[in-house]
Amino acid sequence: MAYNILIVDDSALTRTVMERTVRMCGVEINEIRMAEHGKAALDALNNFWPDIVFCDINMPVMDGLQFVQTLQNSPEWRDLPVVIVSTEGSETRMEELRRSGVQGYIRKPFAPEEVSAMMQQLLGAQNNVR
Amino acid sequence: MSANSEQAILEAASRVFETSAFLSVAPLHSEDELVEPDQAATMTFRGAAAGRVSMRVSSEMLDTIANNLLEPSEDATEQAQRRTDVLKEMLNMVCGNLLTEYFGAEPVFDLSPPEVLGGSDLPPPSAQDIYKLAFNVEDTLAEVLFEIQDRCNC
Repeated sequence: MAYNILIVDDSALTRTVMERTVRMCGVEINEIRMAEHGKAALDALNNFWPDIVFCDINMPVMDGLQFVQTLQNSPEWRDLPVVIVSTEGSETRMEELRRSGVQGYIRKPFAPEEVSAMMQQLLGAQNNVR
Repeated sequence: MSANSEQAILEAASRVFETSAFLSVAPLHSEDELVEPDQAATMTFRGAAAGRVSMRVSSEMLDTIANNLLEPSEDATEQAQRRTDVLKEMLNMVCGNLLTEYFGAEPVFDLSPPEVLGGSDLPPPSAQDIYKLAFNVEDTLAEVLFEIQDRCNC
């Protein structure tokens, strides 16, 4: 099975690095789309069904927290796995995110192995459900 | 500068440059001949404390990172844009990691978007607590300025 991935980050550098990292994870990829903030990511969801979203917190227009809250309020998207990829290291913030429905957290700077492990964990869980 | 703040800056910078860009960070030695910074950026934080983190680095180092992580570009405009993007993202990561190193893992901070300054000068000091550390990144000089204006601005 090949997977769709959505990467949401205002840094073109991080989007590119994350895209390359995802492609090297050993998971078959169907399509990767990228958005530079939460609003653009919501627009992308109109015609794209990702299996995982990797999302930054601190972005212009719509930040990652607002994006996650919008997904949680949507019957269509509330179960979409979102992994926050952020420079923030507060355990209080991470707990807030977990309560908001976020399924994973990767702190910048990240090693490729962290992204790979997160994908295996989330996609493996999806396959077990299926 | 307290040993705590100096160590926090060095730890955060080392983690960011070494993990994300594969560049080694080392303390300065008087005999070092380093490439001088010509680019600077700043950003603010607000939460359990308020303040600002700024960083100055060399274009040479930014180009090294951009070329390590992205396809090399021969277009000068595109290369300049990549340099700016690298500078902002490096500062963003240094700031987030520095706040955790210094204040611990409990406090929550809201961070402003990084702002590139025109030139290599750091902003004028505006805080009661100011910590500055220069260090060596692959034979280029880098400097981080950590300003804490209010420790109780919750």
